[in-house]
Amino acid sequence: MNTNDINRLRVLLEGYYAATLSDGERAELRRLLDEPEQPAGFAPDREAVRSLDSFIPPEGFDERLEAHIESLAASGSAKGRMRPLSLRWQFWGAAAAVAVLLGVGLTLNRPHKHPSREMTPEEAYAHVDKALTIFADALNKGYESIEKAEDTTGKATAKAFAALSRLSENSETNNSEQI
Amino acid sequence: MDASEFKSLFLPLGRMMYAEAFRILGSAEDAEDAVQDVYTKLWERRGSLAGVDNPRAYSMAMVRNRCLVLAAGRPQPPPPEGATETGSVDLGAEIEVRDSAERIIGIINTLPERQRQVVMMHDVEGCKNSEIEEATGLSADNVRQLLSRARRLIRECFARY
Repeated sequence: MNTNDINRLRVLLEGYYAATLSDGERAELRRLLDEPEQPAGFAPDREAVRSLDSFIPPEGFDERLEAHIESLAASGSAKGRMRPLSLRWQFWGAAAAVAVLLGVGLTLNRPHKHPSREMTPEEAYAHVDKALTIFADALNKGYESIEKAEDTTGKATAKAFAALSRLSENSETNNSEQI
Repeated sequence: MDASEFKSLFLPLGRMMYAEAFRILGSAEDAEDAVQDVYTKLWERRGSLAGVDNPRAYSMAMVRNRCLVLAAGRPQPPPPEGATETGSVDLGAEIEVRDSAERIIGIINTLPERQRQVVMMHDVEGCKNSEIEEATGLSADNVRQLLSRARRLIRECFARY
């Protein structure tokens, strides 16, 4: 290390201990302290500065971290993510709405009371209502709950559909018998 | 919480999380990896992060836990007679860095409280002067003076030993 560098090092160290160095001066200080063959008197300064600087992340850390977050956001594969409604979910939601309308329609328009062997329109309506309630609750609970609710709602809706279909068939049969 | 909100809330904490990870792991690479792991976990939990009162404390706890798990899972250093020259130099350098990080933290913890707080926030956690002023209620001049005294005391500790 030449005399100019040693003098410059002394000036920068004084600024460092006065806490007045700019970022550029601090980088210059670090570079000078990394030079080989320094006078022995600078050893404590080198240890002190290097020890504190070791907590500074390596160059590019902030950019890599931001890129990491961007890739997480773009991949869309993280658990707990609130996905937009899938086509399957939209289908069952629509099916549940149709089932409610069918149930209400059948209840209002059936020609005479016919005891269902398995489920009345009211029971079918109650099933669909329950399915819709589960659907609404699931939206508030997040993705994992949606999956569970999707399965439950799907089953409930399928059951309601089956019951309504049977009711419809029985109703048509009774009507044709009467005719 | 979308990516933009997530970044504005958690990205500024990255520097501090790195410092904590480095303090425990003593390796710049391992510390950066650990921080990225924690950000992945934070992203996975972003749906519930709105209820977190103190994102800084929450993130730091996650970093600490992650690093302790990583540190516990590290292979033990091989016996000196069995180590290759390359392996022992790498491991030795890593141990030296980790020891240096622990040593400086130990020194900082012996400083008067205000100096300790300022040097931790400024030199270890990388907080801006304005953040330090707001957290401590000190003026810019006071922060600078405390940082100056802390750095001189740290230098004296190294000169003594």
